[in-house]
Amino acid sequence: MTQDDRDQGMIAELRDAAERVVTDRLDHARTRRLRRTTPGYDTTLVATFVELGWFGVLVPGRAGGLGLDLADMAALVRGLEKGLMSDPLMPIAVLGTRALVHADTEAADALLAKVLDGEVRPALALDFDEALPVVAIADGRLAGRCEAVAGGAAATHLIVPVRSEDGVALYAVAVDSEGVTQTQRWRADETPLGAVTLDGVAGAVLVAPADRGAAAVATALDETRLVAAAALVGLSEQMLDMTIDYLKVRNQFDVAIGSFQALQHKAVDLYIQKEVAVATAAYGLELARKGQLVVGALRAKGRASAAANRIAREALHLHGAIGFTDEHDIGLYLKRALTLSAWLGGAAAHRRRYIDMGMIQQ
Amino acid sequence: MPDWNAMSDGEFRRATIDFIEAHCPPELRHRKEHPRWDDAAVWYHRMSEHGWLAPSWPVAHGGMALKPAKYLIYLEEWTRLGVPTILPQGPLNVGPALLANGTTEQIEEYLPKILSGEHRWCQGFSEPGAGSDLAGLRTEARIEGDEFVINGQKIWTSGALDANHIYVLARTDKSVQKQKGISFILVDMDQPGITVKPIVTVNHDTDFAEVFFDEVRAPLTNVVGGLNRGWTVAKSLLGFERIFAGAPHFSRNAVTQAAEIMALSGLHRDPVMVDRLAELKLEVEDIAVAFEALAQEVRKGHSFGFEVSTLKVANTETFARVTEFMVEMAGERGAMFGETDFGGGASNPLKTFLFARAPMIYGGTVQIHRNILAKQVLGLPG
Repeated sequence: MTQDDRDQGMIAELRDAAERVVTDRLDHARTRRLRRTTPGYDTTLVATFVELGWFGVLVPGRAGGLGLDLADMAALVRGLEKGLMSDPLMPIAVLGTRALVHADTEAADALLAKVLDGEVRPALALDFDEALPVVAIADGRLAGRCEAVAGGAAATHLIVPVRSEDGVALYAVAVDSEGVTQTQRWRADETPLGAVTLDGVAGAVLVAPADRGAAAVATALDETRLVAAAALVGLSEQMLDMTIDYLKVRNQFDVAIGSFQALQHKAVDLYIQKEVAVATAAYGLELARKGQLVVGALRAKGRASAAANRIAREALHLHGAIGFTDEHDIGLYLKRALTLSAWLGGAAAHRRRYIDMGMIQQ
Repeated sequence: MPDWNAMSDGEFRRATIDFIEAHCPPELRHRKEHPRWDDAAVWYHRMSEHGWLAPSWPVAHGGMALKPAKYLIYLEEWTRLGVPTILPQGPLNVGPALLANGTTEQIEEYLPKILSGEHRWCQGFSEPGAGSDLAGLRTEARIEGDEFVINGQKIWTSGALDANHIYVLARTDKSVQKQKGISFILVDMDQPGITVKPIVTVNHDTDFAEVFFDEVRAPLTNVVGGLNRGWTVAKSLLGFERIFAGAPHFSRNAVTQAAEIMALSGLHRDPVMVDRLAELKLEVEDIAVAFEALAQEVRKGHSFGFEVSTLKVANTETFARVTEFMVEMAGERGAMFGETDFGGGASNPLKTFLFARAPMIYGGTVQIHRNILAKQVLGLPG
């Protein structure tokens, strides 16, 4: 067995596990019930994720994790998103966790050691559009505000970037520390997005020194973009499947509407978009493996966001008026696709990165 | 009552704004939810008292007799100033349908009660199995003595929670071609057998409902345009609505919102983004020119035909694209539910984006309108 075979075996295993969880536990009545609630996910389901070790997939072996690859996590999340069930893995087990991994300090590893069993759930405290928040440290106390903390409602610890002349340091703050207040705003899919105020918070633990924090955040963001791209591919696959099923069963003018060529061509166009997104998401992971994480992430997240958005809009339209109701599931998927495509940058944001990196001339 | 059509467009626009500012309660304007009758009745009555409730009806029946160009201004200002439309089916459709197809008794009985608000109408056309294929409807009205007895289900009925009357397309003859066995019947909803169940939309609005009919009764005299002639009445009625499917007020307002979001997000300094906004704005304005050309024809007394489908497709799809651009510009804030703070101000691009899905579906999907254009205008076979 080659390394590649072993990799593919693990990916298949996680994909199958995700599929089993979705098959057994899919319940969109629950999805609807959980909207505008905190933490915004089913805690018993997430307890199952912990049992299966999924929070530790991207925690390195040195810190007691499974030490698996981004491609493994991507396969897992892609499967779970078909049932809108991956929360809070992306913000916690990918973004927050990977920020700690790249911080690469003993303090960070001490937290990482408790991620696998779910005891520590780190969330990276950012502003909208991945901007670093305005947080200052004086006399060992943190003060400032972080407007857009994905996974904030699920977190035990906030990983707070603090900018200084020397760079960006990362501090870990327990969410129940005195001086931490968190309110929730609702994303398009009505899952929570934390807004955190830090008012003279003492006891913050330095997990990345000022010369390392910015790079740790940037790398964790790009890694999460690759996983989010896979999530968007999962959504796209599911929306396409639902739509094709509907075109086969909805009858008007005494025939299935899927027999109309105009609609067939629309469906085929969406299928083509999905196929391109599947390929680009995989290519992004491949580039990352070859050391080109930044490019891989922007290609994958940009394409997957564009494809999922288009498929979502057209899928709703192809369902007709029923698609416009809250009762039908396609709207849940559309809003999830909007949420995940805007999170960490959509197609337009990634085109800009592409231009800024000078790649258009290459 | 002034002669509205004699005014210049500018004068009429001013008069419309003045009327709204003077009489529409501020708490009803720019509401996130469609106001219910109990909250909005005061505005309905004021519109009626001042003669602004029925823009298309003849003056003799209490209307404004607005020509299309003026009606467009009326609609634009209504939308721009965030004025709610309250149970519009009576003034918008029932009045014109009766004036064109009703008996004298029906006109005298029903029109004044629309103006007074005593009769509040909703429309019972679509069914779960009859959307694009409306003529495939299955709600049935059998005749018993001097009454219709109606059984079936309607869906996408706006305002059904507050209406007390519904006009229904029902099958009255199953033995003939499907368009030929349908009647247009006026039904009092205040009777056992009517069940109204609200439908929540993706935007969490509840303006739509399902209406169920279980042995619901209406006198035979409530048929409009004659027994089994309902399809013709319905088509003529869709005609009144149809021209406004081509009106660009949604997309114009969306362009304004997009420009606001562009400024709020600082993208107005990016020439590429400004160019894309300009492209969309010009598209909206050019479609508005096409609408105005059609309105001119109607103003000259010419009837309009299938070309309104061109505007319907162009308008609704352009509107949707403007909202997609909004969401794109807004970045992560574009995927927030509800009003979102951009720092210098707030906007709600997601709500507009989600709403923009609907006009491509209701009043005939853009695919149905393309079919109409392909066959009726381009003369393609099939």
